[in-house]
Amino acid sequence: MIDLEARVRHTLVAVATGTDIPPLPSPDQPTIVDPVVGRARRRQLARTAAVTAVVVPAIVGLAAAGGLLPGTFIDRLNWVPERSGPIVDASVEWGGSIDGPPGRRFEVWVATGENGEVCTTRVFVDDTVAVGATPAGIEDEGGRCSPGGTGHVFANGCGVGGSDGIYSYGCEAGPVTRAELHLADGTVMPTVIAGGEVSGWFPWTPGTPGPALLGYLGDGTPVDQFTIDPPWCASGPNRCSGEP
Amino acid sequence: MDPPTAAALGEASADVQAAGFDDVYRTLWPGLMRLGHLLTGSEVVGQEVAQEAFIGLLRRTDQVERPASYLRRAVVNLAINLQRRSSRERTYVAGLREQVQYPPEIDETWALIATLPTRQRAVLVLRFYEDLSETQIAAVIGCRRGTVKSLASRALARLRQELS
Repeated sequence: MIDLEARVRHTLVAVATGTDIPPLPSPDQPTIVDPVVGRARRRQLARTAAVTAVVVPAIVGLAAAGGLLPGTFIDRLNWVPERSGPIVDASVEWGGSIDGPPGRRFEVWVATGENGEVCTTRVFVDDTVAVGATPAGIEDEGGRCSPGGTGHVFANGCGVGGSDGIYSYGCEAGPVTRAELHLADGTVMPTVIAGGEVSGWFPWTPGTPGPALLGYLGDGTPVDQFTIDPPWCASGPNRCSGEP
Repeated sequence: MDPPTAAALGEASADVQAAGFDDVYRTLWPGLMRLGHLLTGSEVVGQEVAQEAFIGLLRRTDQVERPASYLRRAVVNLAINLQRRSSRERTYVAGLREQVQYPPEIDETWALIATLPTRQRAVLVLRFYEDLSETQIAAVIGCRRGTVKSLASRALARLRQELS
């Protein structure tokens, strides 16, 4: 019989005291160490083949640029106003798209909150509607807000949601300009990088390993690899899944 | 003059302006960052949360009597709100990378704690790391004492089930 409370206490103290406490930030000093040069935890990665599927070109500049996005659409997206304050409607813009499951397209939308935080939200939409037009068949997949600027770490703060074998994720992009999601069967899935996040989706079958997210700098240098292992939402309701 | 202790800033009435914001910051920063880390599962996010709490304090220096208590409550609430990414998603913290390699027992327990719903995790952190009473936890989270009891009970039951 384990002494559970003692074990929890011991674990929390161990994790807390292992926290890498950075120097106190000052206005002239970035608070977070550059993950590329300062984090010993990174792994060397083999270069991998380029992803064949790519983000849909931003042909359409999007209705948002002209302020044409209907408020009902903006409201339909899953922002996090308790974090960012109300979304500034004029700031809402399309961040990127990739092909989704059959009949669907995965899109990322980006906006700024009234407090200046940058928010992203992920959706699946009908692929019959042109990219940039107001989407139809919106299926909300989650969103996140965070302070803008530099200092974010690739693949930190990932969020994963989904059901019925289809999952989507959003993680901090940090310094990466390109990322790939490698499935256990060798398939390489494209990603969208927008609003400081790298986002995308993947099919997953219970009992199989989770996919690996690989990030690269602009010159092709691998930054890190992060495995998105299940379970993702062991205690979460509804669409949180991936439990053994 | 020596900076005030964390205990003095939390338990006794201490005017932030009198104590000096810089000293408050210097004294409480490490502890709040650790608390943010435990609550969010991420060092980086924990830092953001702690900084945001200090920004809140800076805006209210003339109103806050117990800065440590105020900041702790702010960090907890910010961490809980941060996790509310959306109704269809829970922040994935179990696999967040750590710089430190822990013994397997700690690794296993931490991974399970990280999968708990945010409020359950917060209760465990406040009870077993911050050593707060149920009444104090209720005040920090903004719920009734019975809710704290229930959240702790469910969290421990889940951990016991998974670890047995």
